[in-house]
Amino acid sequence: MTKRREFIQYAGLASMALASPALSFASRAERRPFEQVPQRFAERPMRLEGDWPSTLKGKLYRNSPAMLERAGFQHSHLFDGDGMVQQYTIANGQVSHRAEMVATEKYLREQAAGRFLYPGLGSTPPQPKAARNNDSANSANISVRKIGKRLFALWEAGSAYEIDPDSLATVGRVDWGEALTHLPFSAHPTIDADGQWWNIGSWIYGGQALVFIYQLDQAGALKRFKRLALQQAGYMHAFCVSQNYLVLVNTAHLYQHKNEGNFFDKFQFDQQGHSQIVLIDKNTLTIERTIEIPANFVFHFGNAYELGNELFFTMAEYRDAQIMSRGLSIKETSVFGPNPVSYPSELCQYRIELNSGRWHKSGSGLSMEFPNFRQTQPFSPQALVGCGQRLNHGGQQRLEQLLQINPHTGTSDAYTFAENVSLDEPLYIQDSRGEEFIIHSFLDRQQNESGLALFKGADIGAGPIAKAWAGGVLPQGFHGCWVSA
Amino acid sequence: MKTLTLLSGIFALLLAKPSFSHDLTLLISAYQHSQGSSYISLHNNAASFDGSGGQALAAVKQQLSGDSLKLTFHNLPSGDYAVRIFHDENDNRELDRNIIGIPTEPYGFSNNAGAFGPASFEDAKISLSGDQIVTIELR
Repeated sequence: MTKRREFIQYAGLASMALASPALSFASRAERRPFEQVPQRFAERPMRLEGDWPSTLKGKLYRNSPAMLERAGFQHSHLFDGDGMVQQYTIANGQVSHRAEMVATEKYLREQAAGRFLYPGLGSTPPQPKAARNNDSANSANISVRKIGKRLFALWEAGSAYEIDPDSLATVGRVDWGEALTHLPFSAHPTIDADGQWWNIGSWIYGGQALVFIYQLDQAGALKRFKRLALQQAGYMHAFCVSQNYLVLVNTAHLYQHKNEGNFFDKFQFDQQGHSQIVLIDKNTLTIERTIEIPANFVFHFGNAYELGNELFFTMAEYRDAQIMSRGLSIKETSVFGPNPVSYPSELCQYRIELNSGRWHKSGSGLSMEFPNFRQTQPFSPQALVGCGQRLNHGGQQRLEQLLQINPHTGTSDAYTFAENVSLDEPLYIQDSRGEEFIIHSFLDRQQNESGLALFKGADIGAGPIAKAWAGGVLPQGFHGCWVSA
Repeated sequence: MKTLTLLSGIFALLLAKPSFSHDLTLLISAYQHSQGSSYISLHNNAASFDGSGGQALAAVKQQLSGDSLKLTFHNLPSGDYAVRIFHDENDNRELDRNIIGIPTEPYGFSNNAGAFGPASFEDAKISLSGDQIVTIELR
């Protein structure tokens, strides 16, 4: 890392870790993040570097599509790996790590069979079995969120799975109601200012284009549900919430039924078509307006807010859907590969005039993915934090950055990591005194070791104030959450 | 495992053509429990199979006593047939579905046809020209 601070604290923990019989990283020194992943990581302390504040207490949960291999077959798309919830516990200036597979119905059946049984989204194992429904292939592998006292491991095309927040044992598949069994529940439930939660589910199959709206109370119980019809069957991964609206972007990556091919092969990016911004009234749960914008692709959003009669929201915007079809494979085209390929998304802010529906777009000129905002201030203009990248040497070398952008002011700050460091999603967190930090996991491919990095929220350019090293490679993943102790 | 013998409504007709009478035996597996009942229907055309028109050639409700079921349709003339099955776990006489029609109870088709959702008659059909035993695994 370019601003590495070389005061390393082993604190006696490294020797304990090396002695642990539960997990021998040494034998996996050359293992890549998605190969030969064990089905659990027993709790072990991490090797510390820098100053982990004693006031910082809590758990970072992250979900990873960890298990891509069974019986000699390897899934080729990251979305097809079975979910593993990783738990980093931070207390008293120490950091420990453990992880467990999510015991989905799919995982348990395939464990018993000793092979993958069901078609994945991007790749299909030999002799696949027919699926009873969408949950047959539910790998609960995209994110993990704490709502009230309930921890959920989330996919996007099927049910949530509830996880014990302490033991990480799987409680079971969540039914929000008898008629709602197996309905999609996205990986991105989003908090409202009053502590309630919203989520969507997308169903774009069988000639239908539907979105399901879930409103959960502060304890994670379903409060309201609505099914809405959309104008096109576009891929939707997440959404954002303003004071009065749920904001969806129904992308131009359209599902078209075909008998052959994998699930993702049935999507076609309609470059000549449109994406659609869909504004859903939070009170009535009706679509208030659908606004066409040029064809784009998006996974993730920053926050949304209304100022006067205007609605602002940000998204990590792609020109097409190659990130989905090629970038998330584990082949040579992958963003997670040994020589990661770049599929840059630009952080863009959209401004909607609520009276007329006219829209305006401001590009930041900066590539950002996994944008996150302060959950305590969801409707305030603020600096987003995410994973950025900088290209060196004529674009031949990609350096990853922790990037902070305030779309409202146009200001930004960044910390650039050394070559061969890959970042995972960063999150804003607070210690017991209310001081703000940013935390994220990473993989140092040079030394083949995963870790955690901690930054001061007000000065990311100064580099990480502390790191914790896993002593080996952990599965990389998509999304997580922080739960203060 | 239970064996059930069916005398279908076409039995009398079949008696007139004994040389064309065949037995179709189903071995149905992967019941996750023995509560409730299983409904099995035999079809000789696409319309009745997909529910768009007509009646099943035969339909039977069977109580369960284990994780599998054996069932024989007797005296069938040569031809194309397809089978639909569902496990009515709560004994409400229907295949339960969620609000968009996705089944929430186990079901299956002859040839274990259909990767996701209902199978077509074409994919599920068995061309019967003699006694035949077919295995069906519930999804």
